[in-house]
Amino acid sequence: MFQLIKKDTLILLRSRSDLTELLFMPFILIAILGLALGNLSMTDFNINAFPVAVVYEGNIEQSLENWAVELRESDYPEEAVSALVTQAEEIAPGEQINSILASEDIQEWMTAESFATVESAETALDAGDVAGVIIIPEGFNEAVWSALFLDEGDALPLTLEVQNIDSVTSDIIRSVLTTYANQFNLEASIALASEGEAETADQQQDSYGEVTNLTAASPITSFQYYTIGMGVMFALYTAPALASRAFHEKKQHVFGRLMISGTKPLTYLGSKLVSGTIITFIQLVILFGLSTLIFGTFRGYSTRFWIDLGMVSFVFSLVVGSITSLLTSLSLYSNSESSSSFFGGVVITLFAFIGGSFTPVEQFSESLRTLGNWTPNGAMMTSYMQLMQGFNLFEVAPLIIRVAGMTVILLAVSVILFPKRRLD
Amino acid sequence: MLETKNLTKAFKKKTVVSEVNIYLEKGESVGLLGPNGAGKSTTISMISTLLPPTSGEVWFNGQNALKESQGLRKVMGVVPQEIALYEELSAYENMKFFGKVYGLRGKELESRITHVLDLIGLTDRKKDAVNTYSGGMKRRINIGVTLLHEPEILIMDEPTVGIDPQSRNYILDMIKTLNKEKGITVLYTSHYMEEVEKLCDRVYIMDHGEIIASGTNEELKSILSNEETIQIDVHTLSMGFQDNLLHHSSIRKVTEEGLGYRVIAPKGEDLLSEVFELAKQTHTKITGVSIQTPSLEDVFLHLTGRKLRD
Repeated sequence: MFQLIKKDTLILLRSRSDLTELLFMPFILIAILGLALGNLSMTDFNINAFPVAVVYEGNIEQSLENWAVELRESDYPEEAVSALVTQAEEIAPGEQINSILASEDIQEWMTAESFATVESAETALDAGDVAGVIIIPEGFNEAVWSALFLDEGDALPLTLEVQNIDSVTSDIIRSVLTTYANQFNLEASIALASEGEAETADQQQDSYGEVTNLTAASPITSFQYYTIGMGVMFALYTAPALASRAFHEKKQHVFGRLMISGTKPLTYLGSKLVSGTIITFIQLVILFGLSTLIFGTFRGYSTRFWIDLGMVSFVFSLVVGSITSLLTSLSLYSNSESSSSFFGGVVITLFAFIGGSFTPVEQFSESLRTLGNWTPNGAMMTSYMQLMQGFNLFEVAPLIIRVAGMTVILLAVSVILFPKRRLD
Repeated sequence: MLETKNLTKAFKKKTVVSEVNIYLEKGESVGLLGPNGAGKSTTISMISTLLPPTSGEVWFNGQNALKESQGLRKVMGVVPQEIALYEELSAYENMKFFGKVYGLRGKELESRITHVLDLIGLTDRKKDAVNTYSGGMKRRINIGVTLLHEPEILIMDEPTVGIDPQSRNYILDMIKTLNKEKGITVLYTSHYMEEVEKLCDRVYIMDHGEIIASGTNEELKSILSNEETIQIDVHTLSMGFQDNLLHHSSIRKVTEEGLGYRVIAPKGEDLLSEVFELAKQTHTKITGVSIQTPSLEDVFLHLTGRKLRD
């Protein structure tokens, strides 16, 4: 098999058209798109910090007392009440939002000002003194705790009032709250899951908060976005490039020559899987490496990030390898190159669009976004984005497992379809 | 050594090879002669164990090669009609790759590559990519790769298609050497009767998926022992003259051949004076007449009524 893989790699390296398509094109697009949009964040804009009013209608001590009363009224034993209140002290969503809004990172974009009442905050909003009002309602903490620990009731929504719903500032405020909601949901899910009490983080993600649109916690620059976007898109082209060669191997009777030499059909198919995986991985390493070297795309990220990036890239390379196997099987089975051409010409473009290679998926409808995350490139793109936002490999595991599952299914289909009898 | 029994292949409802029975003895050179579309390549694919037959068997040294293909595959080299190589790689890289696929390694592999490159006359161009070669050179490397593992049986499917006469002669001489000096058994398919006549001890003539005649060159030509071939060259082709020839009671067949006609007629008939008379009647100027011994081409024409390259 090693000889077959070496041969595939050597031939690819000798092909100017393949090298152009797999390396030169994505790199040029990264450069063009990255430079065209400068260092703008894909989710943010460089604007002066603006004031935001925050009305916190409760406080943690009062919330804890209220919740303890509620628990006792619901006939929970005193030990349980005590344990739950202790746990709740660790998770105080209202305080957390206040603390996030007061953090240095957020202060670069907006300055939070506390208001005692909703009325006073709204007056400031009407006067144009603040760009928006964030209201953390009374009972917010208790509602979150009940939903989280007792699986009872619905969480109370945070309220956001803004001067102009379509303005950049309102987008930023919403983004901050959304990110908080998502991170809170995810962490809460993992915490529950780790205690063996609940489903996976992915299943639970939308359960405790009302704001669900995911946006970047750390701003993602256009260079970062398009390095990932073009990388996952053009990596998919490895599959039709290799499968198309497999078809020509059969057409030119090289495949027959290999079979006569004693090469087993499944060894040949396996070589396509491994070649596809290795070539894709090398392609991604070169693209990410060059982009960082020339444009500083991932400069300054931790070693942990690079290891996680490598792991995600490997899983993505595997799925591209399995697509290579499938397209090889289809080409040999149908004795036609059309499956590879269709994948290269139509499917990749479609996948790239709904996977978010060209524009951030936040602009899409919920259903399109969900669909995008069911494409290998879309799922991996979301994983890469989450890694850049500070998530670790464990936290993006559901998407990785999803793609690994796709790999297994694609491989199984390719083995079933691979012609084992008619070999010439 | 190698034998097929009632080998038949049908694609959907169309039978392309029907009950083919051929055999090869060790060290023999056997030709499979037939026009394009006769079923030669399909027959070869089945003998090579690459294409399962619809019915029939292939036996090699007493073993059913379709059930146990490894024995045959190990000692067989197949040269397909297409250039079955990686044209982006050099001759040396192709040889190294296929040699390794055959399990050759180290010095043995290097020595065989050197030997084969010398045999096919490509030592000087071994580092050039195959896609920079001429048609003849590609054909030679196509054969060379097949010789690396020193096969006992060489199956060649029209290995000289589309190349210049000089390269063709080089290849034919090489195959002859391999057969006569190295004792390699050769099964050679072609629609060029001169090649088969030159190379093969025995010939199978195939048409429309069936073997229609077989034997040594002499045996096949003896089918026409009572006939002779007259080549009549003319200044200008004439339909009237051709019709006159066709309607002559002693003439069996007339085919157009270049600027003239090829006529098959019974031996001993004094036709020449009548031919000149027929030409005179249609104002056709005869520029030359020759009486030839029959070729395999004539045999094929006699059996099928068509020329090999029709």
